[in-house]
Amino acid sequence: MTIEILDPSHEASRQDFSVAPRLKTLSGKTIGVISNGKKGTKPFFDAFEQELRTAYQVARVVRVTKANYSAPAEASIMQDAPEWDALIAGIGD
Amino acid sequence: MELASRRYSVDDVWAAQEFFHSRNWTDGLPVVPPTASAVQACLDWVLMSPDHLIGIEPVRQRAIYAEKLAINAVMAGCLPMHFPVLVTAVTAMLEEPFLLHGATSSTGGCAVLTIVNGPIRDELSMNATFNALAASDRASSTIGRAIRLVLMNLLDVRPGDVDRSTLGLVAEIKANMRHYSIWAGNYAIIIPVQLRAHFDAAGWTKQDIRQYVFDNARIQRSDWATCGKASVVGDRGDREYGALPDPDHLLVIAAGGPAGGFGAVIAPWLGTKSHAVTMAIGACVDCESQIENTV
Repeated sequence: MTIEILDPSHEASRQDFSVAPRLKTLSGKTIGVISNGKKGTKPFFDAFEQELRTAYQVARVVRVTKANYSAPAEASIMQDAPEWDALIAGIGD
Repeated sequence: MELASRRYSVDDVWAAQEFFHSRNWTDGLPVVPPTASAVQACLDWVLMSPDHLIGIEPVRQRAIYAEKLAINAVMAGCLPMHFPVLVTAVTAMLEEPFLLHGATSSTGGCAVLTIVNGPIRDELSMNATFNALAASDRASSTIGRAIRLVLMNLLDVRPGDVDRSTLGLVAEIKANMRHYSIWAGNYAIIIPVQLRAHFDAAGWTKQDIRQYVFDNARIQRSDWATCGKASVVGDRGDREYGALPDPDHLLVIAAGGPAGGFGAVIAPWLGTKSHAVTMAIGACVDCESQIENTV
């Protein structure tokens, strides 16, 4: 006998996200790096920052750290983000 | 009000199983086909319309509605009488202090511990004696499973998707939480009859137990070196850390079989950054007595 069943998943359409325009070059740009605050991020982002500066001539690297690595970045961080040319959210464990 | 979820026709109950498995809508076990009448029966039991907003997951801003909870409840095997507990548990989990997104996505891997208290325990025949923490009765098993299905189907908590747990644990199918953090937080201590007899004889109240644990459950930072955390000890080895920020952070639970002096301590997932949330089940505006059931 045919039975009719209901969809158990979240059906609402996803919010529209648009990808930020790709930078033509990193040279002279300001790059924000949001660390989740775990210990492993420190040496990794130190090396990453060095790479951005030397290999890609990034002018400025803004390093910020979230207060809680399992929660979203605080409003104060996100308020500053529009001033950066690009943003990298990084995790480390 | 009409149910809004998309409907599918399948040949029979067996076809329904394959249909759900093929869409990753189950936990691997068979499910009860969520028909409109079964889902409506759950909603009727709690007097909720299908579009009743249960809550919004704070990190991803995803709204959770009663209809979807009811569908997953039916799939898990819940009866309508079990549904109020699921509604309350999910409502509590969506509170910001619980930090649901973190708890379900952490590499540390944890599961949600759900404690039900009050007369509804007996009304639903929820086992609190022999084998209290295991799957041993219909209500506990199906409600616990429904929570897991809700996480999977409504919040994408599937391994490799939102769920990034390195190892996970068997308890995720039902309800439990495992040690992850070395920081203070909401611990739970479960005390069975045989041990409660000693506390009763000594005239200790729950508050006495909380105070004692608060005073005595302490370690030095240097102790972390003995459990593989030597790298974080640093030069602060003589600093003392308590398990509880204050005595009230200890959840004292009476449960377990009548024989055996075995207690259990259930550690928090992320110290004080993730909190236990207590909420009343089905608050009744006409009831004479105060609310007695909580989850």
